[in-house]
Amino acid sequence: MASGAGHFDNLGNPCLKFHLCGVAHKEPGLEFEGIIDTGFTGFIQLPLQHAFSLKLPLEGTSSYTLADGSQTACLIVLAKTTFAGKMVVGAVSLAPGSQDILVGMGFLRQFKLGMIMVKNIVVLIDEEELEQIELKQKLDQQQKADTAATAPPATDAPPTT
Amino acid sequence: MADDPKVLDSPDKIAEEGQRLYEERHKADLEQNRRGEYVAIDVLTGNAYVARFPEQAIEEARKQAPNGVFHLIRVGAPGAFKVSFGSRHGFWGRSLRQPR
Repeated sequence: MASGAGHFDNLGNPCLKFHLCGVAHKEPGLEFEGIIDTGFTGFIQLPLQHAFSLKLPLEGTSSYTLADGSQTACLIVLAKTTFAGKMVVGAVSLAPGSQDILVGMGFLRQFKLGMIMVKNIVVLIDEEELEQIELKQKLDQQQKADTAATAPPATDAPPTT
Repeated sequence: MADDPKVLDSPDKIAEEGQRLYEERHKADLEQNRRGEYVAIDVLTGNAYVARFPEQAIEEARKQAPNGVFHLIRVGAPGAFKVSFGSRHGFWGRSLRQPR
């Protein structure tokens, strides 16, 4: 189970904390805070400078479609990423000239997370937990239906003497 | 020498070479059979490694070609990934290509 909590930063962006590990550190590596961007289909976007401190091994490049439909490319690495005690290997994009760390839909997919944002709380729920909740609801409904079926029928007729 | 487009000395050149190899060798076949999947093109050999998810494509490519330099593409899509938030800031404002 990898359910966890996020938070809102002082600009109102939903954020979460995770660890990234290159070859420079022991697992789980260094902690980062990223903005959850549901418009980003990738895993994590990391400013290029962090690749040096983490010693992330480069794999190549990847193409990106920007919001205006134009295309760009940036370097890509595979990095061990830990969130809520679970570790996956994800494709991290290295963005030169950007200071934003973004957490995309690929992150939620790989960690099998669903996200709920209410008031000032960001909750990340493991898909398995959601499935268990759904299963429990179905069982409760089934139990209620069985109880109703086996109970003696209610009658409005007055008792006979 | 630095102006030789075959010298892959920047991310843009690697990406352009990967895109060229994809379009010349793999696009027709993959877009018919593997639409929506991810392909890592080894820009040194032109070989393609296809998988359902991006990290799987890269992992498979690295396993098969330990010295490869890869460019990741999503089959049938203009880019491997879409970006919205970051496009307002610095790097993402610098486009490699204009919209088609």
